[in-house]
Amino acid sequence: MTNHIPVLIITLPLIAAFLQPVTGFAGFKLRNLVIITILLVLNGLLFMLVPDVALQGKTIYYTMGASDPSQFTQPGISFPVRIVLKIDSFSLFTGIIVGVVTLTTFLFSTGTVKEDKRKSYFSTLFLLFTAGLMGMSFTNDLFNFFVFLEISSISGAALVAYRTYRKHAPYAGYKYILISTIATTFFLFGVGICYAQYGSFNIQYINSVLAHSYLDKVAMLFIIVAMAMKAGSVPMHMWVPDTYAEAPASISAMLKASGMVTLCAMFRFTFSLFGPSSSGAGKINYETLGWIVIVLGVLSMFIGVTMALIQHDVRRLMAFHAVSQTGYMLLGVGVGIAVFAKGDGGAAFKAFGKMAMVGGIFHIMNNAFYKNLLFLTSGVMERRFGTRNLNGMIGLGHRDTLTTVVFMIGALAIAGIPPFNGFDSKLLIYESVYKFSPVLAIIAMFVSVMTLASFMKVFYSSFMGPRRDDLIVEGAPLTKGTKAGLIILAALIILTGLFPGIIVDGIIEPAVTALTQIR
Amino acid sequence: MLSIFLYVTVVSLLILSITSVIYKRNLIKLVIALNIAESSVNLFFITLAYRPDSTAPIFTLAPALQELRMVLPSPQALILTNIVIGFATTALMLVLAVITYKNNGTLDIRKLKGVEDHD
Amino acid sequence: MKLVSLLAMFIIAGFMFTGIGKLHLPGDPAGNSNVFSQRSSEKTDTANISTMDDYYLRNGQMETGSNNIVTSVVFDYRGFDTLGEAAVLFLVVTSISMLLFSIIKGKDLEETVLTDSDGFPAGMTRIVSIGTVLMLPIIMAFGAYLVIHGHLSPGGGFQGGAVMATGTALLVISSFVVRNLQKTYKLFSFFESLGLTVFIVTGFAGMGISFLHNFLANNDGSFLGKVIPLGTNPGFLNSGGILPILSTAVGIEVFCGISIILVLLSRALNARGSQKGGHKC
Repeated sequence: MTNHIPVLIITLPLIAAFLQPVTGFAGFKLRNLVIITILLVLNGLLFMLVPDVALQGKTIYYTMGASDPSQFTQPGISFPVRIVLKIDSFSLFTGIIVGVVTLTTFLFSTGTVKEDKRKSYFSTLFLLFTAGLMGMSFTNDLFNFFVFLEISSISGAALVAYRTYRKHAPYAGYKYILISTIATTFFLFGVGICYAQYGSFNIQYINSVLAHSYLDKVAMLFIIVAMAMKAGSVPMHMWVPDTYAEAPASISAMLKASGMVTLCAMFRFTFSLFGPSSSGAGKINYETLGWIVIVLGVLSMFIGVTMALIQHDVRRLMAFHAVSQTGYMLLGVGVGIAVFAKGDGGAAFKAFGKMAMVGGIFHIMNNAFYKNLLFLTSGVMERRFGTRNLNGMIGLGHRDTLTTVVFMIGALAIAGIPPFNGFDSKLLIYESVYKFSPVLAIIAMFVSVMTLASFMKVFYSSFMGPRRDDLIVEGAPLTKGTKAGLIILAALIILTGLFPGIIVDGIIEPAVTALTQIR
Repeated sequence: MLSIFLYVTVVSLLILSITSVIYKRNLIKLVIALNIAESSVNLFFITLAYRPDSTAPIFTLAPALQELRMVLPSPQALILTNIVIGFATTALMLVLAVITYKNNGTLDIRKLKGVEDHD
Repeated sequence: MKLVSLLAMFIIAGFMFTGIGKLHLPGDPAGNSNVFSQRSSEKTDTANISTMDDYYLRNGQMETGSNNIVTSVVFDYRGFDTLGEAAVLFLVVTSISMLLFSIIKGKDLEETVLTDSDGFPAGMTRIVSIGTVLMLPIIMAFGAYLVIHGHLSPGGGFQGGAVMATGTALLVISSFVVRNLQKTYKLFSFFESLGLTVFIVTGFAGMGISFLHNFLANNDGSFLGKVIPLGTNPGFLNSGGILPILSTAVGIEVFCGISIILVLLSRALNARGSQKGGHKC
């Protein structure tokens, strides 16, 4: 059964979702239990793969419907004719992020999303969202990636509009699906150009015969623009605050995870699809591409944080910080890309480029954890005060000790204060980027300071101050599931912050190696 | 050489639809614009699959094997998928537009601007 | 902002127009146009093949037992895409139910159907009502034919299901409105779920070898396992392995899914109860 793990990871949430109209009758407690079990099993399966894939560097293929699923191609031909799933260290890393985020988010949502008839639809869509993100992480087929991208964006849009009674929620969902559809159309156009030239959809096969012609660059432009649009980097970031603000808190966290997965996919396309091909034909100009990514990253960081400083709406503030944090990842990986194929035989890449990439990729993971935690706490704040406006929140620290503590942990982590995990990845980024260009490192540190200032504002205005029970609209204590979700995330942040070496050596470094093929 | 105009049509349709997305302000018209974009991608794939003097890739009652030429099958399979996905997206967008109208009384995105905290 | 996006658009348009000049001309795709030359009668013949599409054309019929190569690509070679596609439809039906049941509530759930003196629905002329009654069996039979013969002739689960759903559309526009929305909805959503479950269970049934493995095809004499002769043939219903099963499952799912969407949308547009602060549509 172990060689069937790749397909189980994607199909288990699918089958659970398909059976929801049937199991929905069984009462919500049983249904939640089943879903939590499935998410736990997913995480278990993912961690079962860690020793083989991440530590020993194996690559697992799974060819759908073939007589020997572990083979990449059939005998006699050089190209795969079926859909192939591929698990290497990088896709495993993406999958682990999705697994952890979905588990904690669902635990949180058991207590915050009202248990009524519509909750059954919510959990169905949640499971399909999970399946879509898992599929995006593990597929090695461009068109299959498109299908899973659509699954995740349609379920995301529907979940954003979940609270239809809010005046603007359906419009926010509309905006999300509009942007996603434009992005997927661009993506499909790029896929069509690849297919026209090489007659295949398989990422690994296309890379092995890639000619790096002008058409390939056009295809790359389309695919990268589509991914950047969905990940919400500047200049395609305008949908982010509107959508994140109107969605339920747990769905904001899921959208963030979706953005992270899209970002990972973008890096995968840059290296594994359009990267240096094994046939040794020409190369794309990595230095130019790297600088484009760096400029996008710096703009994202700066515009995101400056817009966040002036917000009064806690969710819009956090959404702008999400844009700003995306900039760090783009900066780290962009520096890696810029020195990736420099003419010095990889010396610059080994000296600091790889470290920058490790920092960027590590930041994706850390950011997924603490941003998730912050979105979830903002959900608690919104429930308590019945508003998202910071001016209407005061003195929550007197009532909710747990929320206060985890918010503090999340805020310190996002600002890059030791000993939390944001510090470790930001340190890696600062150090390596400083060797590349000191100005960029200084901008990154400056943005970090502004992030801290912004979150201190939130902390002072909503958690500190006199106790005001008259402002509280819902004072019911948090349920066990909600607390569990918050505590797991906070514990992960602290553990990653205290022992970054284990994570970096065990998961991040193999992921970067799998991505760039340079040891 | 004339056949290159198939590609020109594809690109023109795509550009037309994206321009409409930028300039149109009615939520229903945006849905129509995205449908045009989907059609252009479908047309692109089916253009790639074309092969002159060929039959559809179906063997039931087809000409004899030796002189058989067939168009490529996989783009057809893909646009079948894309059509279903496009249908799904369109349906969801229309439903969201209906609810937006019920909530706000307008479909004009200029009047829908400014998503702020209203309660 | 508008100018910036327009500028970006022009850059992208420039890349596209310069790019298409370098694509191969339409009608000249890569691969071997005479792909069946010297095809032996083996199940898999990998000689004379240079692209994925060549492989499908040359071996699709023998490997999957389906005369329609597009169906064999949709349900066998790229069956996982089709699972995702069916999931998209299920997903959108779920989302639409979730969104529209917040508008359709209370009185709108039980429709009071206005009928004229002969028991026909009021609102449309008699021609439409009687025309619907006459057309409906033909449409349904044609849709079912498309679904069942998906592996032999043009068609398949999606097309046939969509044709059958036009029957529902006719019922909706001729005001044969669904009397009890809840019951109809439950029935349709049960069958939709059933279709998808059959699909994924069939996928898991081949799990001894791999997911979505066509384990029924080419077992002579067994259920759906007829070994068909190479090349042109009249078509055998008893062939194709798991393809007819998957096609039927998808057909049921598409029919029920699109029916739910049509019924709910038509009901929502006529919904009387408006939401808080809302207007009537």
